[in-house]
Amino acid sequence: MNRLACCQIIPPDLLYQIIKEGTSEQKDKAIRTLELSENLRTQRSIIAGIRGGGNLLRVAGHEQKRRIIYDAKHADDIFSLPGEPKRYEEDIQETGDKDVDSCFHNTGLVYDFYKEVFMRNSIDDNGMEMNSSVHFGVDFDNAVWTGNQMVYGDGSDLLFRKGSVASNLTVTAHELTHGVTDHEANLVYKGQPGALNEHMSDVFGIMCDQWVNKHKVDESSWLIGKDMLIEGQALRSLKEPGTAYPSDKQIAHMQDYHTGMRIHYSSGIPNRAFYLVCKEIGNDGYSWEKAGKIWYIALTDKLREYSKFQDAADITLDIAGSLFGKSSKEQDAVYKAWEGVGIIPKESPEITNIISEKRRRIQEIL
Amino acid sequence: MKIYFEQSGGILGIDSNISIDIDYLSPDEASKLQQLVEDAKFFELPEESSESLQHSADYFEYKITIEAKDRKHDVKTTDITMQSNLAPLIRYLRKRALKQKDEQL
Repeated sequence: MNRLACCQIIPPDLLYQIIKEGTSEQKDKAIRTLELSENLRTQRSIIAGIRGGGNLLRVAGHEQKRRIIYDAKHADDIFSLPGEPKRYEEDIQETGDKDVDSCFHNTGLVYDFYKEVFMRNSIDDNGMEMNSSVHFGVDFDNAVWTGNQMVYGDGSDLLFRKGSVASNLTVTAHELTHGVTDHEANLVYKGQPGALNEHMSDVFGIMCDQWVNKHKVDESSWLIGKDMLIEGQALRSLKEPGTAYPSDKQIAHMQDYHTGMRIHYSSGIPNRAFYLVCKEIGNDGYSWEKAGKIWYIALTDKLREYSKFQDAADITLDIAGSLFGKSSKEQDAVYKAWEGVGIIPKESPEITNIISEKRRRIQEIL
Repeated sequence: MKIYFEQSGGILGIDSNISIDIDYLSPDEASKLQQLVEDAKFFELPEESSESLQHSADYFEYKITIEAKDRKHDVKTTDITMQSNLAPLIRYLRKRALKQKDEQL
């Protein structure tokens, strides 16, 4: 029998140390032991839930943030990921690798943002481990959500500044939100649903930045990937789509939209609508307090795989009415914002009476 | 041999492309590129990967066309679905395309 795998009394810290410093055989055994103890913990939680009559849906996962940052060691190949583990949740000490340490820190901030503002527990709302690989490829000007993890290149100094990708909070929040979208609305990645998918990543990306910096609506830059480009101020502007860099083709109004448009360009329409909602509700307020909660419920409760801009407009109008009241300042703000980008929201004849778990949690904290 | 390379998508969402006629490259550069094409086993690669892209986002999409004396082949791939042996060729073309774009600005 595998001695290491059957032994549950080795402290997790020691197991993590073995994973980092042991031989490949020791690493395998330590990983297996951790997996076994993770499974046991989950089973114990479920049993405790049954005995205590608690809500099973809420006890099955991990309640703490769990981050692992890997070094892809410049591999170009997604199949070689995640790479070599460099920093685990338990590691208080910095590694000295700026990308590893910044990515670790920022991933933690994104987790805290979702947890504190939306009572969401990680990517899947069930404590999913947040895995990231830095130093992917050679001079790779990109960050990617693979379906399982986040991946960051170094930048080439031709397009993105070297070292700017893994250390940008809005980029990490953007990529992690792709994971949230996968577990919620699951918007397909093309056409208007794809643009809404991108939009959600930008909206929660900028809100996370504003929450961390305690920026009010009129204090925020509303920029995603600020200072990352060699030429230009950012990757995107939610306030003024199409102005982030010299050849920025993002659009801000339906009159400029055409079928087949790239999703990173058409996402400017809902991006601008979100900014307008925040501005209309109040320049001296915080985006995440009202507009953010409308958008969060839309993402987690209402939008579906093939939802389009019109659906997003109708749904957010409905949610604003449900949360803040019909003809409230907030519902009017949502109407005006969508109208401002060329989409007239249609009010649902009846506000849904089905209160989902997520909506109930949001209503509790409003 | 002529190589046409197009890249789109990524978190920024911009396009870049480059056309290279290997006959106009220096002998060293031509030999390097020729080797990358051979190492990629380019003419044996499927035109499009059947692997699913569902649940992934912000990946680059690539289209490479190579015309040789007696054959022509197109390959469409992404960061997510790319075969390992193609990665060095894509890395080379991506950098050339970026440098060209940089020179044009």
